[in-house]
Amino acid sequence: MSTIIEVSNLSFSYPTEEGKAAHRVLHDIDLKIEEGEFVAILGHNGCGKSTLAKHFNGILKADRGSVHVLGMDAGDEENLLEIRRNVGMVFQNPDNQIIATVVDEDVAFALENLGIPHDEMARRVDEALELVGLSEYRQRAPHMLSGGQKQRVAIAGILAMRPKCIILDEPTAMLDPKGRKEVMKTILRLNREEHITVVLITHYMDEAVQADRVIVMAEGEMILDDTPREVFQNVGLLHSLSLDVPQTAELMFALRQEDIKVPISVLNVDECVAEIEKLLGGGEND
Amino acid sequence: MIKTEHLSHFYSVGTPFETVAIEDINLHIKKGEYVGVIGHTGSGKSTLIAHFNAILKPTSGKIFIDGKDLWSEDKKQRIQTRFDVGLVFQYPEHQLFEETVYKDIAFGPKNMGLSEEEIHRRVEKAMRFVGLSESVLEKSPFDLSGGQKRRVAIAGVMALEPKVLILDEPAAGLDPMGRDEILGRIREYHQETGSTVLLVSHSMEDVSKNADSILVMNRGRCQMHASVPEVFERADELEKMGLDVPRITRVFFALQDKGYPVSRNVFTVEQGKAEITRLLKEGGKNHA
Amino acid sequence: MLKDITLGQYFPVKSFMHALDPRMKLLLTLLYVVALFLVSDFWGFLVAAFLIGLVASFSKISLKVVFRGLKPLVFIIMFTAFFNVLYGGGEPLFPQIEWLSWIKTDGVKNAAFMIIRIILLILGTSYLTYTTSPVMLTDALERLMRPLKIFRFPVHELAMMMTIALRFIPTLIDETDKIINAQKARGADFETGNIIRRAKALIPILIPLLVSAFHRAEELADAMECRCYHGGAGRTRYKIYSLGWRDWVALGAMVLSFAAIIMLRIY
Repeated sequence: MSTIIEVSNLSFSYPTEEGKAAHRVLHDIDLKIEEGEFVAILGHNGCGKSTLAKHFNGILKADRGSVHVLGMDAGDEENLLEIRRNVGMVFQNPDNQIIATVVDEDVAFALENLGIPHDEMARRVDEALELVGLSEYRQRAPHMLSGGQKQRVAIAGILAMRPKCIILDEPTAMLDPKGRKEVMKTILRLNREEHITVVLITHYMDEAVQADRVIVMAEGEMILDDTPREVFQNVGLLHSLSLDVPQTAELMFALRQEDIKVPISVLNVDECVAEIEKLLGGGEND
Repeated sequence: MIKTEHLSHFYSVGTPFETVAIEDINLHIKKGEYVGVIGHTGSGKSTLIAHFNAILKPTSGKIFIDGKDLWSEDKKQRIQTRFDVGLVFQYPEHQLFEETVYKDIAFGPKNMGLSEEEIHRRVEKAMRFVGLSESVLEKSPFDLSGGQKRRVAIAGVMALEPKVLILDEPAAGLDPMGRDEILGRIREYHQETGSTVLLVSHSMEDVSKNADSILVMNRGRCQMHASVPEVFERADELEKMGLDVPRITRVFFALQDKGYPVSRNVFTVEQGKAEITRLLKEGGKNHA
Repeated sequence: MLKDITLGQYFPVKSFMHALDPRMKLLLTLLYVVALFLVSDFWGFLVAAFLIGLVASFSKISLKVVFRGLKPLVFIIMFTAFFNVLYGGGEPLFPQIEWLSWIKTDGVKNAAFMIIRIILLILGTSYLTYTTSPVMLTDALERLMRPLKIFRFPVHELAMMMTIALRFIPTLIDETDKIINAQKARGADFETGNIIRRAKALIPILIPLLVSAFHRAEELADAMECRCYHGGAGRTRYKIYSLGWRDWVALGAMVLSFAAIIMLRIY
C-alpha cells in the first residue's frame, strides 16, 4: 500500500483585510492517508476541515509545513495538474460544480481539459456514468435532475479522470434522505469495489460510521483519529464539541452514567438490541 | 387555526404536462399546535405550505386561516392574512439584502406600515428569540457566519409576529450545533408566544424531539396527521413511503418484538434510558 | 412565472434541419443574410421565400409558430416602413388625392422591400435558433472563429463564458422565483405604485441574486480547477461534429439559390 496524501506540520491562515490579525485556521496538522482507505472527517462549521481538504489537491497552499500527494509536493505549481488528476474533489452544492448543459458533456469536462483523445474520452465517460448508475441519463439537462442525481453527475465528472482518491466536502448536506442514500451507496461502492481512496467530510454520523477511520477536528486541530468504534466511545468529548453521536451509542453512554454495565462501542441498531438483551437477560439469571 | 377543505393543486393545468402536486387535503391544525411536516422530495409538502400564505392559489378546494376563507377575501385582506402566516423558506439567508441586520429584520414590519417605535420593539424581540446579540445589529448581514445569517433571516419573519410560523427545513446544511441552536430557539419561541408552528423536515429525529403532532405527506396526499407516538406506531407504513423512524425507536420496536415488555413510545435517548432503568428495577423486584 | 420565458427558443425535435451540423447551419444562415441584402427585386425575394419554405418543411416547425414570434416586432417594422415612405422619392402614388401626396412610388416600394427583407431575415435566423440548441451554437461559433486566435482574439474564453451563462440561466431563474416568494412572504409589494416605487421594489430581489451569483461563481471556479481546467491550451473536445450528406445537400440548395439571386441582380 502506498501513501496517497501526506501532510506534515501544516499551518494555514486566510489572508485578511489590512489591520486585522490573520485568523489561523489550521495548526500543525500531521496526517497520512493510505491507498484504499475510507476516511471520514468530522467537526463543526469553521473547524478547518474544508480548508484542510482544499490542501489535498492544491486549491490552497500551505503557509507552513508541506503537503505531498503521491510523493509530489502540492506547493509546486508544476505538479498541480498531475495532483488534481489523481485527487478529485466534490463539493456541497451540486448546482455550482456542473459546467455543461448535458450530463455526458459535463462528465467529459475534465477529460477535455486534460487533452484526452476523443475515443478514449468516450470510453471513460461511459465507464464513469455506469459506475454512478446514470447511464440512462446521459443526454439529460443537469438542472432537470434530482439533487442526488446531480451529485452523482459531479462524482462521475471526477471518476472520468480515473483518480486514485476522491475528496467529498459535505456532498450530502443539501440532499434529502433518498439523495443521501444514493450518494452514500455510490461512495461505498467506489471504495469497496473500485478501491478508490475516499475522504468524506460530513456532519452525519450514520455516514461516518461506515468509514474505516474517523478524524475529528476542532479549532484547526485534529482531536481524534481512530476507527469509528473507538471514536464514538468519546461521547462526552464529542458532545462538548457539539457533534452528533449515533443515538445507539448515546443510549449506551447514558446507561453507563447510571452505572449500568454496557459496552461503550455500539454503532448499529442490531448491536444495541443485542446488548440490551444481554443486560435484561443477565438480570433475570441473577 | 389552519383548516383546508378538499385542497388540491395541479401544475401546468390545461397542458399535456399537467401534474398533481397535492390532492384532496383535509386538514385541521389547532391554535398553538407544533406540527412536524414530513415527506420526501416531491411529496407535495412544499406546495402545501405555499398555500397557507397565499403564495399559491389552490386549483380547487378551500383554505381557512383563523376562520377566514383565504381566497374569498379581496386582495388587501389577503395581504393582511399573509402577515398572519409567516413563512420561512429553505435557505432563508439567501433573501438577505439590506445594509444592516437591523434594517433587514425591519423589512417585513416596515411593509406592514408600522410606526418606528413598533418596528424597533419588534426587531429587538425577534433578535431575542433567535439569540442574536445587540452587537450585530449594525453589522452587514453578509459579514456574519452561515448560522447567524440564517438566524437573521428567521428573525425577519418572526418580526411580523405571525399567528402561524412555518419553517421549511430551517436546519438544512447546518452543523449539529447550528441545528440544535435553531431548533431550540424555535421551541422556545413556540412556548413563549403560544403561536402555531409548522416545522417541515426530513429528519424524524428532529421532528420527534420538537413537535406535538406529525403530518405525513406522500404522493400529494396527507397520509397521517396524528400525535408523534401514533405516527411512529405505523413505522411499517412510514418505511414503505421511504421514511425512517428514529434509530432509538427501532431499537425498542425490536426489543418488543422479541417479547420484552418495553414501551413503543421511545423517541429520544432520555426516554430510552428511563425505559431501560425501569425495566432493570422491575426485573430486579420480580426476582427478589 | 419567470419559467414561462423560453430563452434561446430551441425546439428539441428530430428533423432534417436539426440533424445538420451546427457549423454548416451557421454558415448557411450567414450566406442567406448576405443574399437577402443582394436582392434587388421581388423575384429575388421569391427565391429567398422559397428557401424558407423548404427549411420550414424540413424542420417540423410550422411557419405559423415562427410568424407568431414576429408579433412583438410588428410595431418596429411598421414604424421604419412609415419613415421609408415619408422620405421616399418618385412620383406621388395617388396624384388625384391631395392630402396623400406625400406617398410616393419609390417610398412605397422601398418600404415594401424593407418589410419583406426584415421578415425574411427574422424568419431565417429564427429557424437557426429553433433548430440548434444554444450550446451547439456556441460550439459552432467557437470552432468557426478558431482562426481568429492568430490575432489573439479570446475565442475559447468567450465560448466558455457563453456555455457557463447558458448553463446557469435556469438555475438563476429558479433562484429568482424563490427570492421573489421569500420577499413576498415578508410583505414586499411588487405590483403597485409608480415606476420609481416599482424599481425600488426590485432591490430586495436584485441584491440577493447578485450575492448568490458571485458566490456560485467562486464555487464554480474551484470546481473547474479541481477538474484540471487551465484555459483553452491543449484541450480536446468530447463532441465531434462531422459533415454528412445532409450538410452537402443543404449547402447545394443554398449555393443554387445564392447563384439565382446574383443572376437576378445582374440581369
